[in-house]
Amino acid sequence: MTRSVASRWRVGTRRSFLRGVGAAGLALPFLRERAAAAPGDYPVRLIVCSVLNGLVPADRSDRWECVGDEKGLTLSPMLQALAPVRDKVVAFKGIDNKAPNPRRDNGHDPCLETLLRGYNQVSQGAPSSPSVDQFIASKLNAKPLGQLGVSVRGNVKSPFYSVQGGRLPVEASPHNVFARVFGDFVPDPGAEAQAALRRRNKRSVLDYLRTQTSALKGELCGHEKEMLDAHLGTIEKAQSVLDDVPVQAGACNPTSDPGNIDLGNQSMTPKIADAQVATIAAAVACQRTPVVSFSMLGDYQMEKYPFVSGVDPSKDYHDYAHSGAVDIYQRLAEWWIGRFANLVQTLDSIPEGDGTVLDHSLVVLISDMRVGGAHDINDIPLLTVGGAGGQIKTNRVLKYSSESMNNFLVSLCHVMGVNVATFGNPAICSGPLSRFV
Amino acid sequence: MSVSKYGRSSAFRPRWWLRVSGVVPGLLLCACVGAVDGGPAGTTVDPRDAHYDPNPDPATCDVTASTGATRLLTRAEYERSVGIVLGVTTPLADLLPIDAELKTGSPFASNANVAMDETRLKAFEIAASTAATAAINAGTFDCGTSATRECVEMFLRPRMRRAYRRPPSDAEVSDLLAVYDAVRADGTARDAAAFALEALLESPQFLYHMEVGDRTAAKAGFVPLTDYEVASRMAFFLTGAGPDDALLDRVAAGGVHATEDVAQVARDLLGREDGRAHAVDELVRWLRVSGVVALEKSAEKFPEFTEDVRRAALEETSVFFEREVFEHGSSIREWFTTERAYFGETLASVYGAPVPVDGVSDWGDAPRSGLLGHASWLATFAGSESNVPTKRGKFVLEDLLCGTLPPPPAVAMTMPVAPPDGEHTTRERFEVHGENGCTKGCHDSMDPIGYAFEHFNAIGAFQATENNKSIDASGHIELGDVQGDFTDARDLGELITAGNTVPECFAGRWFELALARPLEGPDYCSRAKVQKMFVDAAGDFRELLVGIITSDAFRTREVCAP
Repeated sequence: MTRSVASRWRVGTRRSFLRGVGAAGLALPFLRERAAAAPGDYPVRLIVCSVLNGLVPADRSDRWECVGDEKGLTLSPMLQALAPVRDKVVAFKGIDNKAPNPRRDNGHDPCLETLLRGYNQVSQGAPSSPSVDQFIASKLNAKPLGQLGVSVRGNVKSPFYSVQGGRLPVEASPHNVFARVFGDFVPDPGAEAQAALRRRNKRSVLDYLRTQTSALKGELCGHEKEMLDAHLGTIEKAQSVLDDVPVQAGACNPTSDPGNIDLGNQSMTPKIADAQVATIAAAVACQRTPVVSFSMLGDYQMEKYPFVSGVDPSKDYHDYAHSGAVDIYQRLAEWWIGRFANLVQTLDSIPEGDGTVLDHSLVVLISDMRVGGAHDINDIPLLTVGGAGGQIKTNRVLKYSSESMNNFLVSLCHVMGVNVATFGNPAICSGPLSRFV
Repeated sequence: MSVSKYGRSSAFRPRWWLRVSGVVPGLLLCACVGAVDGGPAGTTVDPRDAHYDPNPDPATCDVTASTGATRLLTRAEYERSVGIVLGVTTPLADLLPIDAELKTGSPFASNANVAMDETRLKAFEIAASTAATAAINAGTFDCGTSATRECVEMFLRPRMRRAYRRPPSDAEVSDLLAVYDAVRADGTARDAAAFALEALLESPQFLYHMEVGDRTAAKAGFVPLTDYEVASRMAFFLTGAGPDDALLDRVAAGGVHATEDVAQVARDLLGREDGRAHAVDELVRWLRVSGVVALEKSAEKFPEFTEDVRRAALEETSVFFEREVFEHGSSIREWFTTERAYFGETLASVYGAPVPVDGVSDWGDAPRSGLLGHASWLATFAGSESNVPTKRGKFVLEDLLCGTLPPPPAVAMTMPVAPPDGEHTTRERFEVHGENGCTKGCHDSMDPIGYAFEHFNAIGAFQATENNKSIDASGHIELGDVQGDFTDARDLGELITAGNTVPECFAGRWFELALARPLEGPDYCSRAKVQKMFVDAAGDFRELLVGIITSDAFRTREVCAP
């Protein structure tokens, strides 16, 4: 069931799709398109949340797997935190990451590098390809922010890859994320004159940077010139964030700047996670970006869990993934699921039209492995929350038999209005997932 | 748009599996060969590199122009350079996204393959604004409240010179003054100066390493870098930050042009406090022990491995490089064979050795010697509860001898090495690798090297026995010109450094660090010359750096015709 959802960003027509492809680097006037949208129609927003290193305790699948079918779903013990939004959940069973070569690629990297790209970069020698979130973001080319990459901790390997090639930078500082999303937003109307002045000053800095970068570009060629082209593109984006002042009205209520949090302190993880969730929710509610890539737990992430009871404070998620302490591994996985639940519930608490922001969004929870200790990439832990503007029938368990993850990625593109026949390696992609959208 | 010019490790890998890169052709890795035969389809060799011999004769090969590497400063370079530009030190590195590896698996950072994006630009903006505010608050802007334009220009010009690492053009100065003027129209002089500094620190001239060369002197595809560009490259390579006023003055006076002058400047920078400190930092990184302070070991098994011990372990290695390189002028061979050691009371208790007098100890007949006897290295390349010989062997093979291995096959991930059982030695447990057909080939080239260090446990303490069984640290190694039997770690240190493989490998890695990008076909001849130079200089680290800096590869680039 697909309902027409006019939006600020949606690539709704073939014409605008081609325009987007042809005009790479040039932002399209989506602001005006929003103005033309019918009342009650809202853009679809995609938030992909990753918790790497598995989510399913070894030999305890029943604790993770939801019971049910296409008529209804019962949340598993590990997913109880999602109870308030149970009606908006779709749980998946039987989706495999087929991109890595099972005979050779069983380390961490092949699992996370292929998860959202549907391509095996190393073994297949394919050109560097983006993850699905970034692919969609590049097609939507939205203003003021094309995409938002966020993490809870620094130094992480996330499954997100930019269209320029290379790992997507994800921002671990809550203050930086807020600044990036809302720029110089001041909630106090009395301070608006001062904020306007500050924006004007920032604009003069950007004008200067544009002049300098353009001049230097003339000195270079080839790859080096492309670097400066990319730089110019980001200056334009910064300009659009500055020009597009958020308005505190309706669903949009920018949280206050979380300020500086001591990122080096292990016990700050919950506070950082809460701050990032609050800013992400505000960012999508204020329609600052259509795509958020949220690396909740990255790979090789050594932060400890002194705030979770019964956990050895010298051990990290990966340590527990490879230990026999199944119950503690489950407890850590549940802690992350709790942050995810916090995000979707926050989105569900913000009214938008005749529903909530969550109803107009699709929030994905995914891991690169099933059981962290086994590095297994079949039956990937995957669920979605939200109806994507009525495109998705929720409260279901969708069961497949060895279905390719690539097909799910195609469905994500379609949900966001990006019409592709396949995604990633076409040899392991047959089109969108059946019965999902 | 593709900016992944250097992102082609996939294209390189197949060719390199079978050889020791740039050093010793013809290493055969038994079962690893199978990995190549059954390897990925569709991998191609970059046509640009295909006709370059990876191991050319340095005496006769022709140096080809190296490609430019416009790239963003690393976080550390940024923080230190801002300090030089503004004269005010502010912690900024943590505000920026993490750096990329110079290439996959490299211990060094370089953003050669990183394009600017929205997240980065915002982080740079926040860092620049933080630094500019700090500089103004520190009272560096002294033009008063009714600042004259002349005074502001005098304030900006020297900062622009340090930021751009060359004198700014008049047009650039007036562009920056325009920022000042725009803010000044409705704000204070201090605010305006702060915004001008912020703009300066966000300008591409500052954020990117960018060397375009003196195009008027282009010859046969080569462009010599300008003297300012050479000074800039040198300053970053040797001190980890942009050039200061003294160096820029030297360039202005024509003192960084002739080869002998460039060499002298390099020696002077190396003699400075920041030059020595940066060299030591990079050497510690090369040994891959920078992370030892945060290294976790089983609290049950090694309660004595406290943060104090970990700090002392890092300190030992840093002091070792400082003293050996800059006081003794040791050769790279001595780094692995010397009996000299530099540690204090904290580490002495772990080593079970007497506290050294005057900070220098002598291992004498102990099986410990050189860098590979350091707790920092031994602990980094071990498990949490017990030794993993594969890790130590892999370092020696890949980082010291420049051998390469294919990624491990899937089966290796589930290969059961029995956990410590209080009965068997580590070697006995790991020898199952050598018995198994699937793992034999690759592990044969790593584990036996690792066994040499079995006299040292997972935190680097000496062990004469393991589970009441005597330690067998003997083995055999055959890798290019490194061939023979060894009885223990000390013996291995002598053996691997007897030939030219270690210095050549090291010189190649440092040449790559100097260019701050993965090497390509056109660089191979230059690399061979640098390697020969290091061997001829008897493995003297400082001579290697000077040699790299005075090489054509470091001071020229290919012609770019925009």
